[in-house]
Amino acid sequence: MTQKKLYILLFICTIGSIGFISLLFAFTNKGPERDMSFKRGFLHDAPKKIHELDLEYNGYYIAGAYNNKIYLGNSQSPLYLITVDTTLDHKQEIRLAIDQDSLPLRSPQLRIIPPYFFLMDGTIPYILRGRTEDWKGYSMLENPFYFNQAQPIDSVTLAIRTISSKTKKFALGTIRFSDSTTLTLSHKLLKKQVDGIFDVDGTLQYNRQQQQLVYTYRYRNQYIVANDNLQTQLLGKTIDTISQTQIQVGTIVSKNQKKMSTPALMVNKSSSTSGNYLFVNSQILGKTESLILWEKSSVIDVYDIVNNRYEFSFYVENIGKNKLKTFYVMNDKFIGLIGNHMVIYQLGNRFKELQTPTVTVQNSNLIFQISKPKNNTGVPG
Amino acid sequence: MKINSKYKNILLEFICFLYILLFVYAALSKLLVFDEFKIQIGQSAMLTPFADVVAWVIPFLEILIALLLIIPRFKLLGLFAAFNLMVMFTTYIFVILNFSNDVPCSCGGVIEKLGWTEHLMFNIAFVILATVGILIKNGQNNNGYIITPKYAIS
Repeated sequence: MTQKKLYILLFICTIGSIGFISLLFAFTNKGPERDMSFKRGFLHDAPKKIHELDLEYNGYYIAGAYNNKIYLGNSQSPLYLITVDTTLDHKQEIRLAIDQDSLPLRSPQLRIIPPYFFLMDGTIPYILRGRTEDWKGYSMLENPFYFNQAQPIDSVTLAIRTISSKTKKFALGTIRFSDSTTLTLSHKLLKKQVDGIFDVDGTLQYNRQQQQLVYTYRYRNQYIVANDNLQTQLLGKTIDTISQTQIQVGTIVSKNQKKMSTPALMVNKSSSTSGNYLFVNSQILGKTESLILWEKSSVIDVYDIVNNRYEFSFYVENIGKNKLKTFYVMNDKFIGLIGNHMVIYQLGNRFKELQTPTVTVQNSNLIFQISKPKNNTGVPG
Repeated sequence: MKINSKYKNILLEFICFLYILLFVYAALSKLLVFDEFKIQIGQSAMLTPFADVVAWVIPFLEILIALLLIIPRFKLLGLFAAFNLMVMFTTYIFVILNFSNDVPCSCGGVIEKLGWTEHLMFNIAFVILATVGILIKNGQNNNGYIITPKYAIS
């Protein structure tokens, strides 16, 4: 082969290989799933962004919000949190004190329901509780109860999702700290469609005004509203029509692991609940919705969980290339984290009226009797 | 000038050796955890429809190319095949990283530990190596084994 022919051949090979993969990508890249059977309603007077703050770090998550104060936890350093006013000034840093020397760092989660906070990691597991007056946390968990999502219901009860030792499937339940720690599970709330683990995945939230658990399935168009005793109050539907989970699960025999073996069709990525309402970040594009707008923003669907009704939707704009990562609704304020930024959207007047009730303090004497001896032997002060 | 061609031959053998090492290692580490590899291929939206075929074809191709590189007669063919496969892998990573929400699948063993940017660099380096190999090998073929290749461009 002459040098010239060789270069031509190399050139053809390069173009051919790049072209082949690019075509493969072009034909298999479907973009967002569009569901022609529903149409979102967007308000003329849509919620508007009223504040934006650069947090200069993207590792924060929303640990809670109460009385116009937003609490941000930090997954890399679990003992550090910041609070910001809903006007996004008065940033304050807080350092937690705990009754042990160090905490294993796997997936610590902080939840704040003033006057209490919980620092927990259900994969280790541990739960520390303390008061927001002094930010000192005391170990609460005497038995190793594992869980992978938890939301405080009140000062002595947590709503959790865990893998049931009985069925080996996900189940919702509560952990209650009274004279002894008790775990209650309901095997009826989550409905298995494929394997009882991946297909029932979703986001667990607690609505303190309604005193109800709200679990929004990630891969199907449903949410569950249950009371504190884990009885179903309402089975709601999100507006799309994906009622059947579209996932496939494969097993890796050598590692005894199960994994999703095809990309899953995600319906409801994340959720938050406040007052009568549930807010869901949906991944399904509706009829007549602009694809351009869809790529530049995230859509939030609002449902009335008292009357089981879809209300309206609104867009939360990307910041740069970053999409809405997580959000939290406190009455009429929608708080979102996007990349390094925190944004606040103002919701309409009807979201305003409800007052967040103060946390009911139950058995508090008892609890602090249990935890005080640990305090004395643990971190001084 | 003889020395020059001798060095080129050493370089060529070294490039082939690197490729054989890479492909045999990659193929074996895929086949050893085949069910896991198949799932990882399936998770990539681009490959889902062909997951079963792709999962078999890639390690098979890698071993085949390694064999071609070992047999002197097929060395040039092997280098071209290696070049093509490497360009495809590189394009795949580039496309997925830049235009898709997915994370690319799935390399075996220690190569998995590389970050995606490092991986891209690693692949591009191998593409360059294959190109150099092809140029040397073709020069040898054109000029017999020992004679210095002339860089005739016309």
